[in-house]
Amino acid sequence: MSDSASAINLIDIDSMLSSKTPQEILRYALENHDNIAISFSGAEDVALVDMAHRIRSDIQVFSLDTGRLHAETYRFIEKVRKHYGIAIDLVMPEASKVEALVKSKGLFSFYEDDHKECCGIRKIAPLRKQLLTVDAWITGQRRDQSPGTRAAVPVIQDDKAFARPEDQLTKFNPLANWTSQQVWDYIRSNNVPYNELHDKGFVSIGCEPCTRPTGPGQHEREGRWWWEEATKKECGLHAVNIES
Amino acid sequence: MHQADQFKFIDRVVLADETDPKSEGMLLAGKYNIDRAPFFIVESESAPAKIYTVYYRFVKEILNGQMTEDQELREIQDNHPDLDFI
Repeated sequence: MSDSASAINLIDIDSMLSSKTPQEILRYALENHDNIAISFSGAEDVALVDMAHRIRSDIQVFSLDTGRLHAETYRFIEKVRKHYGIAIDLVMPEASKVEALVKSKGLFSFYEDDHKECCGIRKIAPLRKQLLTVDAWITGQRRDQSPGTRAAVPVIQDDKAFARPEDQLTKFNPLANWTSQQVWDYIRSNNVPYNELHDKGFVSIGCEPCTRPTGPGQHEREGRWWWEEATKKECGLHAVNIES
Repeated sequence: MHQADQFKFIDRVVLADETDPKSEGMLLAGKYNIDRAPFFIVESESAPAKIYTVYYRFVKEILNGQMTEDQELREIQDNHPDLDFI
């Protein structure tokens, strides 16, 4: 199938799945891919683990252990592992890369540069390595997480950034159309375990040095990398301006 | 690309002007369902057009060029701000 035909096919599927519930999207993903894994951040995306576990009890789950997560998050990952009786692969960065970064720039270089160098080594490189082992992956990404209007998070997408050479990697974002409130309604009504940091005012949870609680009315993005301009990274073409 | 002496391999450059949906780049983006720029279209007589939206893949697979891992990771993050929430 050519690139354009493949893209159009996924757009059709995205259109079909967009009106479905996260559970229906997950079922589609799990029924169409055997080698598929959930990326679990240790935050409210636990809702996905709960939903997926009800569909397939042996669901593959991995978490990116950057080495800088909160103690509460490590405790929570362990709690989820035991609660669902599942294996959670902790994916860690290459020690030599972390050592080289810390040796040359110290432990908090992201406050002076930006977070990308550290995230690249601790998160993106391990993620890329992990995704080489699967045919599809599932994230808890939602449209309402980004303050920019350009940030489009489709329900299904052809992940060209992390695909094996000459191969296809499909990415599912079953919560794309849900709001934070809907995710929390699900967690509360289904007695899903959650990270204790949420009770301490944390909405978005990442690494300890780069995450802070947010106050009433603040967007969750303001709890991450607050020293950087939130919308600086927005890029891409406005879909509304593209004529098919 | 100029610095790496790769621009000599580019046959044609078109502009995707966000304020002009009829600009050639925007029409091509629509045709191939592309939502970001730059993108690269590789045409040959024997196969359908291949589209690259990831620069490092284009450099590696088509230009047989080299990029450092740091450069690749930086590009991925620049083009995928949504990964902040992974």
